[in-house]
Amino acid sequence: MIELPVIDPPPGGLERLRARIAGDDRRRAKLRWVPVLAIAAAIAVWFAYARPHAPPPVAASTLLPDPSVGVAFYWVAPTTTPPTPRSSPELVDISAVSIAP
Amino acid sequence: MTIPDHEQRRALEALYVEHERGLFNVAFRYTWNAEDARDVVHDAFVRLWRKRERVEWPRAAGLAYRTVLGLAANRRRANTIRRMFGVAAAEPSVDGADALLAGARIDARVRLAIDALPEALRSVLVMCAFSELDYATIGAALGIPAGTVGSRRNKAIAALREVLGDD
Repeated sequence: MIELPVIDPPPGGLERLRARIAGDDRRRAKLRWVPVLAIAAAIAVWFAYARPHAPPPVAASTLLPDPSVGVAFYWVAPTTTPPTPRSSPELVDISAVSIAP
Repeated sequence: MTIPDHEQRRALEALYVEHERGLFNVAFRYTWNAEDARDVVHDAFVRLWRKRERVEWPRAAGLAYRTVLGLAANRRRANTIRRMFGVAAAEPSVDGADALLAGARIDARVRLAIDALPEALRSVLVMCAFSELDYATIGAALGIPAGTVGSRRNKAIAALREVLGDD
């Protein structure tokens, strides 16, 4: 005959179960705030770093006269930075300068 | 309609009191350790409590057994892996279990024979032996027809007899 005796569980099981459930409820009540905090942190990071910024205003190009060419010739400045003061260049060989038609 | 928490608590505790012994014995046949078995049963009830809104307490016994079976099988696998890597105590001895549970003599050969059963047969055997549920409820808990419960139980007993002889 195969014997499968029934064993009595250790005493105090119900009290221990109550304590387990109470502890689990407390832990889950704390964890309930985790997703809220995570979402708030993600929104804060997005506002701080990832939000698309408006492009900086681009000023109209300015025309800079270039007296070194000798005729009505202008360089178009690519940026809005003020033109650096230039000293008057000394032309050594005027024939080296050509102007495209 | 939402059932108030205190009524759910009362229903859960009634279920625990009614089936504690059966659930403990089922879990014990997987873990062979009283503390582990009780932990498994408590884990199962904590899970039931978490999903209390969806539990029909009058018919929750099958769900409790199914949860215990799943958790006990997981605990057994985890203990095996821990022992393999030497981070857990050696396999609990039958003598140790006897000392812990005075008077309950478990034949070591019976234990080894139960351990050697395939999971499908072991779960049916321990459920039939300890749960005091009928075949239909056991079948519903395990997801098999009631007739299969009977045939698996017979197969499990035949397998045990083959290992143990007729003594």
